[in-house]
Amino acid sequence: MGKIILRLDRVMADRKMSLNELSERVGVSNVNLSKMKTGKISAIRFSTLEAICDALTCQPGDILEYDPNAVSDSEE
Amino acid sequence: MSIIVNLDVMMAKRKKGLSELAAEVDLTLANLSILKNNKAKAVRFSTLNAICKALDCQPGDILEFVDDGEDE
Amino acid sequence: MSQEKKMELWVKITKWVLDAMCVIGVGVIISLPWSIKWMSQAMPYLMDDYEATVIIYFVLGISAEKILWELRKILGTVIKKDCFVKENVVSLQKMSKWAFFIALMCVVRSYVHSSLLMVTVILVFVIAGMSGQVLSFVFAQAVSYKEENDFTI
Repeated sequence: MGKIILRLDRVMADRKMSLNELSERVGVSNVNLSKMKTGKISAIRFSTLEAICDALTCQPGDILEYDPNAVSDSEE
Repeated sequence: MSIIVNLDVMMAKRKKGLSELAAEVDLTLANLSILKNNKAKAVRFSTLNAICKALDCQPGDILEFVDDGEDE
Repeated sequence: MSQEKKMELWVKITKWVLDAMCVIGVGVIISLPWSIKWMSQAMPYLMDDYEATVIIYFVLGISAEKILWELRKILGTVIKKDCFVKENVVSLQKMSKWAFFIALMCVVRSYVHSSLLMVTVILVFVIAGMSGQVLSFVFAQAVSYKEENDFTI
């Protein structure tokens, strides 16, 4: 029934920002940011989303995407 | 600066009431209200997924980053 | 689940003991003017400064009741299965303050009459006060985690 996909890597590439730099700016550990990038998280704090949007000067919609045709993890 | 949940705008566009949406996304009315009123601290992807499906929209239609230069 | 049953039993016992201590404590505090006289048969030094002794034990008794009262409140939230609340952080801080106060009062009492027992009591209550402080910090963090969890929609 669809899936939420994190497009963090795409926006980071656009802004030419490394994981280390983003981690420093957002105040989230490297490890957790990697988990986020690879879609291993199940929820996101608004405070984190806010910090990421601020660091990457983007909108939540640039990072989060809904794919109605993808198979969700629970259905796999 | 903050993240704003614009749920009501999208709900108005799709002509969906709060209780109808709550039933569709399988949330309690109370929890959906928390989300709608910007009282939530985090959002589950499963919730976001269900809302996007029910309202036939993208996360970007519901979540907005507002940079008013003020730090909370 | 036996673990849950075990905990329920302990909660019940603790609540019963706390209630009993609260009631007995009030009785002891009220009867201090007479009980100290009675105790002085075995410990004659209690009569050295009778009024001061009564007053200081009265203050100590009230402080102990305050601690018991806060404990009962915390136990009440456990029974309601909603113990990670700000009120409990406040309760723990109050308990810790009263424990420090008891230690201080015991120091004052030691000027009138000092004994090895008093030193032990002081030490115990200083440790209790510090434990209360630390636990209140732990609780404060637990409360904020719970809040975040509850507000993850």
